[in-house]
Amino acid sequence: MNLKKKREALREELAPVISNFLFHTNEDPVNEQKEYIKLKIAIREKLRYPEFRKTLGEILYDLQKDVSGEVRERLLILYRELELHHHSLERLNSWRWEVVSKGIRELTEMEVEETFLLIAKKINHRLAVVRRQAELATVKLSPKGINKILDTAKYPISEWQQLKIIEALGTIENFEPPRFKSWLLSPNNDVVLFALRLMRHYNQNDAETAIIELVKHKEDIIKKEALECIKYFGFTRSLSSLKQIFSGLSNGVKIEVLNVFGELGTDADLPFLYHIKGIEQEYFVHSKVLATINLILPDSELPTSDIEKFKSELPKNLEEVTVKGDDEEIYNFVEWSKSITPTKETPIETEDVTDDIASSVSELDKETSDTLDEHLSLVSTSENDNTAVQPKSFEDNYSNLDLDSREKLLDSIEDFGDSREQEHLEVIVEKEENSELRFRAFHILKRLQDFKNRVNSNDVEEKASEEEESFNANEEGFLHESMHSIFYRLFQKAADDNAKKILLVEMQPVGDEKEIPFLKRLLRTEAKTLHSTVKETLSIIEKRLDYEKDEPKIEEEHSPAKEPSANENRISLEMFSLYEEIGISPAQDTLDFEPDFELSGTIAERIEPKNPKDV
Amino acid sequence: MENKKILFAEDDQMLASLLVYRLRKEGYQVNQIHDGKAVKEALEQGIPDAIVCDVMMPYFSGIELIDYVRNELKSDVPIILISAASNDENILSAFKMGANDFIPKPISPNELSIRLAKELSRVSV
Repeated sequence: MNLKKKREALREELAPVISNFLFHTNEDPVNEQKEYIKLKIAIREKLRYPEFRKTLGEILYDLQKDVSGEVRERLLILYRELELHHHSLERLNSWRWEVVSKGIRELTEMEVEETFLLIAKKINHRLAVVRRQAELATVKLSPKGINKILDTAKYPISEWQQLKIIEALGTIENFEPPRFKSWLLSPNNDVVLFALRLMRHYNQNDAETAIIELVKHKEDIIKKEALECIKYFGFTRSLSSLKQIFSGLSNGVKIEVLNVFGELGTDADLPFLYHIKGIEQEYFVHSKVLATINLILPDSELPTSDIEKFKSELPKNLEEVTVKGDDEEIYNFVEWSKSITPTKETPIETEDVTDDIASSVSELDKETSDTLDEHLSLVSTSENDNTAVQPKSFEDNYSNLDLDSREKLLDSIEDFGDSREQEHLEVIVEKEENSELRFRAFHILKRLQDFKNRVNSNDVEEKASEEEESFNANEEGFLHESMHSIFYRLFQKAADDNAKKILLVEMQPVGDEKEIPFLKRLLRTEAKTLHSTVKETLSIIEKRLDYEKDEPKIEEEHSPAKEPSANENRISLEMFSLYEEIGISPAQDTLDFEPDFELSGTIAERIEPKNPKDV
Repeated sequence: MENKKILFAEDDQMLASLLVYRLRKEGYQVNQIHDGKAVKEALEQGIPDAIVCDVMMPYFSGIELIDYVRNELKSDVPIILISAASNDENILSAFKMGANDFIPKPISPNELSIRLAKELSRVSV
């Protein structure tokens, strides 16, 4: 019979014996009591044989893994009573690491606590695998095991091992952790690190100063762990120290420091963070600063790069609107605006200057102005309605518009807008995708800003002259009127002063009264180098117009064929009725026909109603 | 619980001996078997009052045993599974197949005794 079969046979033989030992009680029947005593004597005799001891030890070791409760307790006591752990202790002295490891494992599993100090000696074993096992065994066998490890460990303790030890500590009943701050002074950096983690794990916040000091440790990993502790325990006293050392830290640690500021920082720390934002070159640290600022002051830093614009789906009622330019369609659009724009009154920030402007543009049609305001989400559509939906920003509204509507809106601002539209124009300049519209918005904005700056400077100079005051009062009117000049747009696009001078010269023979407000405005807005040309142009046009003003009277008397205006070219309602009456339909070109004959009195009476209602 | 017949199937001989010893001490008639084949043969001889079975056994796993008992033998005999692999998936599949109870290892002999008694009393009611 070979050794393996012998052992199998021995195991079969010992199985009922061990069961008898484990389930024996003093209340058992007498015959069982007698059998128990006989077995005990027999086993004691057989324990002299090493093979028997070894096999019995292995059986108990295997069995303890599968059983729990009271039976396991009895099994462990039996193991020690039969002194089977001596064999495991012998293994600790083996020169083979796997034998030492097996000995440590058996003694630990069989809970032979008295071997704790013997195993603790292996904490500084030359082999990491034995060290790790010895550390865990030390902790499992004694509540003082953790002290032993932190006191004696000379080698690194891996993060995984630290977690395993913490897990083992958690299984110790009624464990009273020592004050781990004692090991913050250890020469072994891993012990310091482990002590910091244990302090955090067991909520030991009695080493604030030492932990703050550890942020200056030369090892980044200790700095980071100290910062974790600072954040966890809320050591706000550390923030001033962190500000001082920040610039000298590595990027990884800087990010951890910023995490601390994000957790513990207040408004008082914002200047420091803005300073870092200004000087920090490293992308990740810079991003972290922005995130930290946002933690302290929510939404103060918004994403700007790689932001795509998305048009949200248009509201259903907007589909009915086909904004082409007539008033009714604008009205429809405004109706839609009402449905989505704030019903709660939005405060309008107006400066004194804006008030002046507001009064100067009072001649604007009030209805149109209101419409525009609503259009731009500036005012409430219902002042008393406080059950407001969250107001949509102008930007949201604008991004929802299609190209035609955006063009229409810009037209409205150009025609009727004032400095209140400045912020909206800024949004359009920034967000508009269509380059033409963006360009237009930019010029309108520039014009408004120029005007505003001028008004402000005039305020400072205390409105030196009456003419200036008059200008201030009427500048909006000038601006509006000057836009009627055909040269206005051309002038806006002129690249330099030379181009502007050429335009002014070209204006001299063809300019009419529409150019006068424009030229007067140029005298105020353009550089002095252009002034002489502007004055010259203005003078030429004014002289010509004065001459023409006198001339028409003569022309009317002598030449009735005056140059018709665009409206005059249109066929009149009377003529249209006449055409209908006599059953002719004029050719297209006859619409511009200017009759050079007189109608007979009868026809004239018939087509010229005495009462407009007859028409 | 005297004279109740228990079929005990566990391939770990030491553990089986220990638990069977405990059950016999309680008064059960325990048929101790070490592999799946023997379990099947024993069941062909007759259905016991309860079956205690390890999930991992040679030839015939505990799950297969449940399937055999429930679907082929059409028996409602209480079956208690014991296993070291006590993850949720194993436990749920055991109950889905028709196990009456599941005891994870390491096992307390006292706990097994109590649970077995409970299952038997439930059947007798």
